[in-house]
Amino acid sequence: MKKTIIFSTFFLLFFINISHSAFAQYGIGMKASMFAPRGDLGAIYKKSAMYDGFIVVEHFKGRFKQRLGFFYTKLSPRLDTFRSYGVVSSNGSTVYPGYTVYDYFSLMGFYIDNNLRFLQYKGFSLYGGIGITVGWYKQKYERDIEAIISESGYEFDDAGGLRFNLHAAYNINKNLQVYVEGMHNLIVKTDWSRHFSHNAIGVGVNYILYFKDEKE
Amino acid sequence: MSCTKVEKDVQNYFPKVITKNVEVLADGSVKVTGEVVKEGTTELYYAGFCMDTLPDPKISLNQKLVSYIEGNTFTAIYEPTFDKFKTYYFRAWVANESWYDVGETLMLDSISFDDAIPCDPNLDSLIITTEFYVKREHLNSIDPMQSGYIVTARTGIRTLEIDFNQKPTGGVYKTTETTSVTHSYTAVVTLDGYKADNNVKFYVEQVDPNTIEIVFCELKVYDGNLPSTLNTRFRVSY
Repeated sequence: MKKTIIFSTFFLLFFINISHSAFAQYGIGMKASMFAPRGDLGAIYKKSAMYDGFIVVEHFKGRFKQRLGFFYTKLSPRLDTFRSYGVVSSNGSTVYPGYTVYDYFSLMGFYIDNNLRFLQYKGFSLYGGIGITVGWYKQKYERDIEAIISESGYEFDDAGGLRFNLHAAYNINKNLQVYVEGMHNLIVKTDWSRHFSHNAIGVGVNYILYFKDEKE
Repeated sequence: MSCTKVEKDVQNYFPKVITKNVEVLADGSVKVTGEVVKEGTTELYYAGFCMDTLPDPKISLNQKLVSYIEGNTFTAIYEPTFDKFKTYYFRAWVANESWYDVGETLMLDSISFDDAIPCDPNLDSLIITTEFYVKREHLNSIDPMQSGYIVTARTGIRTLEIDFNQKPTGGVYKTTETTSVTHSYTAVVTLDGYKADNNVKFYVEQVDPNTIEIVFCELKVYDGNLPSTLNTRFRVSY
């Protein structure tokens, strides 16, 4: 039920935005970022590259900018093996040794970001915004704890959350805009049991395909 | 959790412990000491020791959990059930919320007790107030997996029975009056059906890998209303 609500909300926002875009200008963009895991991921996974592709829609002569996109990242573990343990409580507790091998963690999802332009000076602009995302994660791992569990496989489930960004853009010409962006994203597994929050800093480019004059 | 600082060095997440010392006490038990170098990014959930006759034992082998850490150190006592003719390996370990660390291995061999035996009865003697000559019975088929068993030193009219909770190998033990023995280093002693005093030391020493020698000194056994004092030394092979 929770997943249904999240996905319904997301796609409702998506289509409202598309219909509204008929009164604005739009283009496409892409971004490459360095994904710096925090939360549950920070102890286990290294920083890695994250890639975004999106549609950018601008309203009110670029003062309000939306991005409808998709992101993907795949993380590698910081160690080959982590020493984990398990406890059996029966006539007192016994701690059993084990290990966990994390092969990789991938996170991907759709998002909508809503950004406001705070400053504009010549070709430079400064934007800040908030967005929502829904997506999935996949983790491959192997875990073996003496007398308790021995398993290997994938963990695959839904995730979603909020995205916050601040980015500085420069218009090279009428069509082309480049920017650097910092992000902090609060993403959780949809049952709230895991946190995949992360920071990201990246560079991107937008290419405006369709122009339309708007009255402010 | 999302606000938790990410450690640049992944090792900072893990606890760190060293096996500081192993010491044979006078009664043949072994005191092990561990020292916590760091807890990692969360507090410690468990601390303890492990021991085995093979090097680098896993933390679950002969595990001793400790309930508190004093300063940075923690200790535990392994009861005197050591085979004098084997080498034992000890390690300290700690675990925080997610991860554990185990210290380096320290070894001991020829573990035996230093307590002076306060009497020196002859082998195969059972001395009860006045001297008796003992006709000793060896028990050659003791199942070490049994929770208890009986060793018998027998005179024509006197029978000494010792019920151990666990196969003794060496060390200073104590008698107990309860028949429900909870520690491996205690034993119930009866003579002709009468219980002996509890909390009295006796001495078990290995003379070879399959033979132990047991010595009692000044053990009071209540035979009717009058206590008998018992000194004895005998061997059991298994």
